[in-house]
Amino acid sequence: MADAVVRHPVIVDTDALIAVANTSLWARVTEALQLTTTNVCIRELERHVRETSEYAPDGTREQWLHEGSSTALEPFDDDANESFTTVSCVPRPHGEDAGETSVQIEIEQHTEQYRFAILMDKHGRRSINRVFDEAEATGGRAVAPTFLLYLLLDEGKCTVEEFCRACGELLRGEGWTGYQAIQAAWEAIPVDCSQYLSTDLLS
Amino acid sequence: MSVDGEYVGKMATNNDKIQFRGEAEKEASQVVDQMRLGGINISELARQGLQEKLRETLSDEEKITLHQRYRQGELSEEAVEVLLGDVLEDIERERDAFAEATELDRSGVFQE
Repeated sequence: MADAVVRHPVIVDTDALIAVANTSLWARVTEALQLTTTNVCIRELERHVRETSEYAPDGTREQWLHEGSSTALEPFDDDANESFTTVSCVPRPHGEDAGETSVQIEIEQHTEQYRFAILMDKHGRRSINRVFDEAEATGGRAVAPTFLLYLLLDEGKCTVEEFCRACGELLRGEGWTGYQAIQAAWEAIPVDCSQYLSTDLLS
Repeated sequence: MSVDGEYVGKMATNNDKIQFRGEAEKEASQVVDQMRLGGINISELARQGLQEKLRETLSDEEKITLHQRYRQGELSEEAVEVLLGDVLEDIERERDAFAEATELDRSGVFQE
């Protein structure tokens, strides 16, 4: 595997995969997009699956992690699926932010191969955007997982309603972090989801 | 103890006073104030402490509600900053990054 690694222009970290895998648009993501992640993120997903219960109550963080991680692993576990690839990160980072850090290391080492870095954590996105900014002749951006949903929307692979509902799912699972990412996306696109989502989360 | 009418900016008036009861806190802050050459700025400490604790108490749902209220014009930008920190700036930065990302070349992004 190590001799012919395919690097797609979109690289996704652990938490971003969990977030999107928990939405009803994940199946569409696996049919339409090509994503790369790191071996460190894959290990983190596997650890979440191992360390959380599949019987965790609905709506809990534990269930979000378990469901999202196992769902996200499926296309990467399928060796025949060349649209979902895993790159090995050297040196291998450790600790709580290892997945996120591994994506940054990978981008630093292969900046020209990536155009979109998808991360849940805004600090992670900020440092990767600095890497992209410092690199010459490449234009890459680190954005929130809502961007994957946007790609589907923009290519006509989902409706505005489906996009908005998936944003709502992401928001319910990721709370305040998800909310900020969604606000930013809605303002950037721009799109009005107010008719599809309940008013307690929307103006 | 009172956070009294110190003029911190052009908007500060006597109506901006926040008062609360705290005998031990009053004594404690006064003793530190007297101990230090030049004293301490009790009002500033109180403002910072209040801000910190207010932020700590907020749940995700409350933060979302507060930001929504701000968007509807029911809450000032200053109050949002006290409660939610740099969130307005963060969302703006995210929006710009997102908008820039929408302009990038998409070859290789989608399956054939």
